[in-house]
Amino acid sequence: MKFEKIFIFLITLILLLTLTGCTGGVYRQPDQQYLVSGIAFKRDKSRIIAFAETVVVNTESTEQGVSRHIFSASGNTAEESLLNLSGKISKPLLFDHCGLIAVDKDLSSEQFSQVIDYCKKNEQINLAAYMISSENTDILFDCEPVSTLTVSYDLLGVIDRVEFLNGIKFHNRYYEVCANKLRESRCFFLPFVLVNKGEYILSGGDVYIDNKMVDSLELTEGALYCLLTDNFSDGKFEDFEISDSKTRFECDLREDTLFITLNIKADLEKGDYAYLSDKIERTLENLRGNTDIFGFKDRISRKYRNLWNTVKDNYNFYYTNAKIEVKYEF
Amino acid sequence: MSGLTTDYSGIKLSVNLDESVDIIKNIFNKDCVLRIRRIKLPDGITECAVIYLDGMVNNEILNDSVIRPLLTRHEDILTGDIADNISEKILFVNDSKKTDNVADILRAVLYGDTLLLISGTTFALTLNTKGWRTRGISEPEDERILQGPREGFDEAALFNVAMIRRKLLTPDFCSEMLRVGRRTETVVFICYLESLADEKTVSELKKRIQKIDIDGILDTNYIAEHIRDNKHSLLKTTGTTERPDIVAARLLEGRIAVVVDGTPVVLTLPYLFSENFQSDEDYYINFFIASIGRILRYICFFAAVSVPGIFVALTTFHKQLLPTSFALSVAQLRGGVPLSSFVECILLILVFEILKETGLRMPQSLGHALSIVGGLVVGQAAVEARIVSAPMLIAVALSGISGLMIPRLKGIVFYLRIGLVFACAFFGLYGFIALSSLFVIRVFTLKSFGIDYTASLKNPDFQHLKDTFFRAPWPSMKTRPNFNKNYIRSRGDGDEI
Repeated sequence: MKFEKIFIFLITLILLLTLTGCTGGVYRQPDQQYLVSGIAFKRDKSRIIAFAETVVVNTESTEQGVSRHIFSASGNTAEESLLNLSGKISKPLLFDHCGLIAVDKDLSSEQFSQVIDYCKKNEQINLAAYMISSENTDILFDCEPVSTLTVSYDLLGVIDRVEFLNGIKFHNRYYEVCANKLRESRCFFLPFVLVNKGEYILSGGDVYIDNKMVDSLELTEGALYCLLTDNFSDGKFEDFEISDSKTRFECDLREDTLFITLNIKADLEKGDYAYLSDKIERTLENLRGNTDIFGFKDRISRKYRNLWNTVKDNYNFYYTNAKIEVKYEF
Repeated sequence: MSGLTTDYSGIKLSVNLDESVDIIKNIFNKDCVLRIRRIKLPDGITECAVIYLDGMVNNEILNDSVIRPLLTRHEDILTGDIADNISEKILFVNDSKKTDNVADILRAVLYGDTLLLISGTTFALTLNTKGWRTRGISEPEDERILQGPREGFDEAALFNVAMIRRKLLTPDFCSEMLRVGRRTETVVFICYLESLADEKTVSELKKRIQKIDIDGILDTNYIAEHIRDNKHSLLKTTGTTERPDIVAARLLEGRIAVVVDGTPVVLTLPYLFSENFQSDEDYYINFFIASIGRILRYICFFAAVSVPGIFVALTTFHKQLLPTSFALSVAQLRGGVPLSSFVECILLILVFEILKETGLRMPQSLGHALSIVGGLVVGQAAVEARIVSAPMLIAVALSGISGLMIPRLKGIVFYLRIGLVFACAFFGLYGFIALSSLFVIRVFTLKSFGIDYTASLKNPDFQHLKDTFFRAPWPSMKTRPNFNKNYIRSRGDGDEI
């Protein structure tokens, strides 16, 4: 019996120790906070302006229900701007239900890093929040939401829908971006939202490398980019229904030249295969520049450790002169 | 320590009838229901006094089996022991005892026997003429079932024991009588099946009952609180029932029953935690349906204790765990409520308990009206007046209704519910886990008469689980619970006595 008591006590102790992370919360009534549905950051030279789209509950009248408000403030850093923003309003901000983090495509690498670090440090942003890139983050929340209460929640649905229809897999979850940053992977693909005459359009995706936006792709181009980077899920590209796609990455170093082979395997229901392969190769040529937009660097460093040790000091040279071949199994 | 309040060991009956009658009269000198009927026997020499308490005896038996034979039967009673002769040759009563112990005499008279004092001897006869009025057999209000036996105990312990015996037609059935209470001298029967009950437990129980030093025992709970292993535990470690079929079923599992005179509630022990989730009806209806009910009771126990606490924790500490639309809805519906979630929750739990208790104590017709006024009118009005919020009202109501599914745990449910609300309001879900763990530890370390309170959960024997979380079909429940390692575990062939 004594043993049983000790055993149960130890189990409880271990359980409680593992749950110590749950103790950090603050007792606060749900109606005494502004629920943030989305935040956006705009570059203002060396400063950052933070925008918060909030859902405000009218505590005086249940008939008036909830409404949407946008607050903004600027600061030298992302943290400072949000702190200033909090200081301007009557109730604390509740980030637990923040669904969207919009970043200005012009944010510097350092500023982008600040945004990610701030969210991570405070552990208050929902890890599953979507990140988007936009050149109009200052007016993004001024648009009128269509199907939900806020623009942010509306955009979540739009992104999901675009991904489903086009087969694109963005790396736009906050935890994905955060994890990539932690493991020093440099490449993310964020949805790009354009605001025009009070309406928002998901027009494509922005490729970020080293926390800096390097290229902006249209949706069709983005779909092919995803196909080349093994990020395409079942979907439609022009007239092609593409399913079960898999892109195998192979790399070899011969005579100081990198030979990269991309084996694209997919099931196509109909269409002209030659046309599709031609499109893929053109996209490859168009996008390939001096910047490793396809994230080959990450793949080599993970999959070919020895080869990576050889090329890492002069990777840009090797990448620029690399021979890239695409093979198809449709 | 039981016994009459006065020591009667120094008092002896006299050969002179008048003196003996005076002794009894003096003892009951302020009791107006004491009746004394003097009779001169047909031999013309012997005189008797029939002494009884009015209302405690069956007048028909007294008249026909005691007084009439004494007045009419001509037998030679003067040769040999006169008391024995009267008992053997004249009286028609089924049970008579010869005694000269005044304490025994008083106990018998107080328990409805008739005392026969006889001139010329210091011995008296106590005659079984018990016949007080009883409520009769009716279905227990708190243990109503849709299918199965409908009889329930009444307040007469003797009849209650007979009702149990009627279910167990075996000489293996034992009933031992004890008297407890300095002033009430309450009759207590310990019933068990000799081949199934653990001897040590029986003797331990007797020892604990005999140790009870109290002036009166008016209900089984007086005994239950004295004999339980953990006197301050909120969890019941002795079972109670008003149904003879349930007592019989428990005796067949090797348990022991304690029947107390003056109450229809019978104690059974050992009592396991899983019994709190068993319904009397479970064994009389299809096992599929019974199992659904049992699983629901476990779910309801969890809901009853945890819903308000979890709700407070989620809405104040862990809002990220709520779906956004629900979080917004909660925030919106809380709009204007002046109380914090914690105070609001505690207040609503107390109001619910008040309504529940009032409903129980009120006449049934008023009880229904109270439910409508309390549940609908006050609830609706409180929400509209923004004294409480609708989601919290729903959470507390759900918890309260779930608690009604497990009436045997009502005490612990209330305390645990309140405790969890406190823990969640101060520490969030961390407090919930901590307090729940303490409760689980407590449950797993409790004992009921030396048997682990969670014996049915701890033992890896699958047979045990067949009557725990669900009720297996009768043909597959082949063994009894393992309370006593020496007894016959098989319910089948091995159980022949």
